[in-house]
Amino acid sequence: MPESRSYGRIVFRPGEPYAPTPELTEKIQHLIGAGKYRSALDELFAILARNPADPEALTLALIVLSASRTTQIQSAEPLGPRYLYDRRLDPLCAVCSQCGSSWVASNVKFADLKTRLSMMNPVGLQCNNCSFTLCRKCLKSIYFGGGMGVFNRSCPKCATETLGVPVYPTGRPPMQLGRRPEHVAALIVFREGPVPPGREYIEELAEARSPDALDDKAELIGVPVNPWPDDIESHARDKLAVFVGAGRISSAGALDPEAATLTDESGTRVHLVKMYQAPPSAPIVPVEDEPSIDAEVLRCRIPELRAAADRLHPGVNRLVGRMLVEHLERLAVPSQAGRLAGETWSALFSTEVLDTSREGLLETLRKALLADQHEWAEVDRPEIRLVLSSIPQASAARAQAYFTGGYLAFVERQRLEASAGGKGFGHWIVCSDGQNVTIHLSCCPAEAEALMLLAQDLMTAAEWARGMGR
Amino acid sequence: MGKGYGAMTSAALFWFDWQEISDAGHATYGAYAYRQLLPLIARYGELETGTICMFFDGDCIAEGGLEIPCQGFEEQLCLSAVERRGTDRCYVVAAYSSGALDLNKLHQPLGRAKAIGYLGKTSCTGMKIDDFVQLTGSMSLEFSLRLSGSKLNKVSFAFVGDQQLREWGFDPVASPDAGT
Repeated sequence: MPESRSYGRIVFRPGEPYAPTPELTEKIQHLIGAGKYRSALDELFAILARNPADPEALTLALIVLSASRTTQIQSAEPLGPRYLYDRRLDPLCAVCSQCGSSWVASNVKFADLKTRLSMMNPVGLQCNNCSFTLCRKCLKSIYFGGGMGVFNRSCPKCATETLGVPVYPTGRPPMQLGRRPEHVAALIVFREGPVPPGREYIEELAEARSPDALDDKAELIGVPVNPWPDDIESHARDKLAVFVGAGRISSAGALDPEAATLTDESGTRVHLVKMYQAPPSAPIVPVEDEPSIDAEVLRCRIPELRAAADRLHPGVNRLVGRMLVEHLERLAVPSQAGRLAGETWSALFSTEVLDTSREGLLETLRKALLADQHEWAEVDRPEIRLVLSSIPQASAARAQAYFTGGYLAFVERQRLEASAGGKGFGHWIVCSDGQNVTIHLSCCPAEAEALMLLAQDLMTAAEWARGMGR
Repeated sequence: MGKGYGAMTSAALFWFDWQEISDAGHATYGAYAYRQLLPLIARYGELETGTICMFFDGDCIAEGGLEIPCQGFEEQLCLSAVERRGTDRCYVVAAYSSGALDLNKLHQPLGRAKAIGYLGKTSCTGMKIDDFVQLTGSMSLEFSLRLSGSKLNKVSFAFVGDQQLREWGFDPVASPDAGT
């Protein structure tokens, strides 16, 4: 088995022992037999979302994908690009070293047979020494060029082995945008040319490249780009700043969007930007990210924090207590691998600081609603300077007005003051009109490598425009 | 059953932190609280049109467990603040009104004016007068004032002088004709 070139972190290797999940194989067999390929993959995706390298789920997925194209297309649940491009299948794919095309390395199923394998018209060949891989098309252009049947299949890269079968997976580069725990707020499609991409085009593109945008009913926006600039990313950032400034899209998530440039089926260049809502609302375990020790350590504290909140007196105490814990819980996800490091974040996840935060927020919120003004309190601790703000408005847009000089300026002042004392700065903000409650968190850790979090909903359009221009 | 002042009744508890008032230099926190409340009652009470209101006040010393009714998020916040401080650090003015005085109207001006130590208001909506008296008794509050139109019977009230009460629009009566 060659040491494959790996595009992803995980590459499937057949024959890895595993303890079979009771009835899983039977269930998948039944679904395949009924032509329910999508249902079968949904079952397996759920497992792979938790463990992207699960050998049993990958083996079964390979079997699902081995159905002939004709059989699959005529089935009750044919597989479209939403499924075939899914990142959870990347470990099963092989990529041509010549042209970059990829395919599911399904013949690897036979790799553990003890007999020599011979295949007619294979999809590709691979060097057993260096894992150099060629697809069928490139194979022909290299070895059968000029109409001459030359069967010298020695590896063009290392020349020490003959290319052969089976082709082991090499992993493939992502075909879809990533999935984060947050809800997708908008998908913006920048397409080369003077004609704005229509909804049908965008939906088709999203189905293949970012299906979660459709699942989350995100806003879909098409933008024509003519001429196509050298730096499409800067161009897109400028456009987004304009959209945010004009209120066309929410500012949430715009500072940390996900983007990719690709070529569509007609050869037209397309740049995709996916924006997420903040705070996150629908935790999904990301496919590729492995839990970092920091996020994991903090996440381990969640049950204790939640239990403490549940012990509170029913009513507003418990409500606010739970909201704080849930906010932290959404942050302590594997996608924040290594970014929640340091004392500042650790302090925010401590029972003591959380109790102090809750009590302080309840008190400032009571005062804020009484006096109809922004009320805040400070808590100085050895590792963190904590500010607890309450604003008598539930709407983030209205709450922005309570920060004289803007939210960012407020945060910056507090951050500087905290860092002068060698501390991080944490800022809980409760917004309520007396009926609805929302909670925001800012955190500027003392540690430079740790995640800096801004309450993005509280930034004005002008602040967004400045932020996007940085 | 109550004696019935008609359907237009409202009842509320106004909570103050007496420690905060004292710390701010007001020697008699009860007087301070009434000096905030009575001018507002004069303003919103439509004294000439038959307002009837009874006031009970005192430090909240609970006899056994207290069950304070409340309505909505803001009133829960108030009780949360009471709970954090402890009820015995709270001075409470309890009012039961029938007629033109809507006690809910007093809350917002108190908050906006940033009355010292004012923690908030809790409503006793729909409570019968007998139940209200029982509640104030369980909090160790005493019957202090009875307002009937502009006529103010000082049952056990001695915080504000008659001259000041007249300036606010009340007609103080020295000898109480208290009762429900």
